[in-house]
Amino acid sequence: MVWPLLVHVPERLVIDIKGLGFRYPGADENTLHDISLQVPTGSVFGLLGPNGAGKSTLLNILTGLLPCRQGSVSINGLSLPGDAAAIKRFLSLVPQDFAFYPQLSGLENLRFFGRVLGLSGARLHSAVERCLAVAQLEKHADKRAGLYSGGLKRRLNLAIGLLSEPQLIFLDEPTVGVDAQSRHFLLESIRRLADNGATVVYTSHYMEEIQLICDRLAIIDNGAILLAGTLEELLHNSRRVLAVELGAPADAAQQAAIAQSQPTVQWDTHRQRLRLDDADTATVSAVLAQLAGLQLAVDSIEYGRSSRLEDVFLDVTQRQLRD
Amino acid sequence: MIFVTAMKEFTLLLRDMHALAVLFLMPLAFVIIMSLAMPDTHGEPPTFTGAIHNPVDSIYNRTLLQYLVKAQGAVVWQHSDNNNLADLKQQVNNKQLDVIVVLPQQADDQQLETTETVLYLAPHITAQDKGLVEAMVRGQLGKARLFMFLKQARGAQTPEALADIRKQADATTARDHVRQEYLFRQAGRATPTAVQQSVPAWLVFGMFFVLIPLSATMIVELQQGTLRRLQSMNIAAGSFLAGKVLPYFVINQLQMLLMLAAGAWLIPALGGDRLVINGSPWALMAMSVVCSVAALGFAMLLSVAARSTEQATALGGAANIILAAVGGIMIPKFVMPEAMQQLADVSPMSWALDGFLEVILYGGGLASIITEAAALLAFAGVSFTLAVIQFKKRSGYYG
Repeated sequence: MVWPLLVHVPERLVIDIKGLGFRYPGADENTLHDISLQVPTGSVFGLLGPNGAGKSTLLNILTGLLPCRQGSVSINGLSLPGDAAAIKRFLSLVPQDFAFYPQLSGLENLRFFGRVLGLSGARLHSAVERCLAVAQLEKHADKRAGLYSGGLKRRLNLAIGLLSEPQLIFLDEPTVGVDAQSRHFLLESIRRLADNGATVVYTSHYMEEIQLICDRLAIIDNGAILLAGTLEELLHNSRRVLAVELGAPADAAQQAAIAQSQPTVQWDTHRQRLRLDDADTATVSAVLAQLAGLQLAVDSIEYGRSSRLEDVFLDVTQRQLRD
Repeated sequence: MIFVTAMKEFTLLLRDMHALAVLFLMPLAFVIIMSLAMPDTHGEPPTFTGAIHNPVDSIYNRTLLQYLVKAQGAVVWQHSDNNNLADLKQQVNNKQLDVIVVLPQQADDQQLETTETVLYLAPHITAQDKGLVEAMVRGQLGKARLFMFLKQARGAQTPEALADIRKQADATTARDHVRQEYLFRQAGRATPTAVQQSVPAWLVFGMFFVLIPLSATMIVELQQGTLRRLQSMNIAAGSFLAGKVLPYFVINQLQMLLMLAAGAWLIPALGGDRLVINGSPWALMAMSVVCSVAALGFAMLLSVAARSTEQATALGGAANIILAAVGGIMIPKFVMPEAMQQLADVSPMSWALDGFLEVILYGGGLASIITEAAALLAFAGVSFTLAVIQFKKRSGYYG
């Protein structure tokens, strides 16, 4: 009998950050603190964080737009900031804003940015045609980009980012303000990029998007990484949630009674569904007993670890409103 | 809804101090500049002090002198007891006199056909005021001539004698009887005509006005992430800025060609004077280049300093108009009071205009525009340096 040889093959990392810190000139404290993060090649990596968490600063450092002075950043084995020029050749940044010229047509924009990337002649033509096709912009190529709908603008924004056939793509909120069809199209396109071998670093406020397309993710807040890992790892550590659907709405007295014993209980607007985050089995028993005592019929019970990334995100970022 | 929207706009405006400053300070600055620069345009007609120099004691001259002293017009004339013309001219230099009229030299009242009256004018008298002074003198010349004609006609008895007198009367209308000469002006420093002033002046203004479109695109690039994208594509700050400036430099040169063409062909076609370039075309090209570089430096500085397109448009427009008003673009420097002429020298538009006038009007070459060109280049150098520093600070370029 021959036993298979079990060897751990380490994933090849495209981004390897160790102890990264950053302080803007004139600032009193660091914007980023001791960030360590690894992004494997060919993955879609989600970077989540509330407003002002440090996502953009981190992205700016990784794309060579801000200097890396504390800690180390290695991209494809090259170091920042020393090798920034070489690194920029194989990465692409798709900013959150419509980073193109609205006065130019889609085609003219693609040609312009293609030329900035050093493309010309047949290579430029072929790259432009490919990007128009990927973004399905052929019919709109000659129309002024300023006249595009929100969805078309997002597609053009992405298409420009694909001109150089980058190995590493940073997408900063690429689906903001688009309709469901365009979002679906963009997410599919992004997923295909990873399937074709590119690595995608993706920031978004839409948790369901991250959950849908990312292999790995990190949650950043106040300049520090709070959680990082695969989606399964993050959800595995999430708190257990109890959700109970009642047969009829609870009255005010019944609500007050439950709130007295379970101060963290949340009710829906119809007072017919209650939810308790971080509920252990003893709490579940107590709540169900109390509901029975209050003569409240139960239609359904859901209990278990949350499968929603949003719950994990809100838990680790402590639900506080941000500026 | 209208009220809510209006309140929102009002709040936004209150928080934009630059826009407020432009709205209030610019008209104030205009009121001050225009009031100082054009003191006489909308007030009483000018009154100059004139001296009458009478070289010979003839009946004609005595009559003319009396008429001039009694006349009311642009000049208050006084008969000078000082017979030394050089002394009177010195009084013009000392600003004690504005005009000297030298009466005809002929002692013989029978030989008046060839008389010449000379007007010596102070350098500050404009072409328009010169016309007023000359008209006043011509009026008195006519009256004196009429006096002499009537005096002689009473003694004339034959048709031949009357024809002779008529001939003398006709001769008085000849235009060369009043010669004008400016005193203490530099050789060849004639006052520019309307076309000679307007073409270079508004060319300079137009060149500086590129800051509006330049700043608009720059701000959009800074605000909308286009610059961030370009930076991630390895484009260097220098390349980016040079790439922005170059098209506007070309536009400036086209502006020059268009303005010169208008002066040479369009204005004459519309009945105005033809623009003639008296100086070196190389010097003209050099002026165009340095003026453009200065204008672009200024435009770049304002573009990177402004925080919004609205701010850039307001600040840029206001700065341009004030520099033009101060710098002799809107009101020619030679009609400004001396203090305003000195103030004009702070405006780079004034340096540029002086350089262009040196070439177009006074026939200057490269050597004649060195001062203006050096000043404009220095201005451009400082502007570009500050612009690059501010640009790197705002855009995050480092290195």
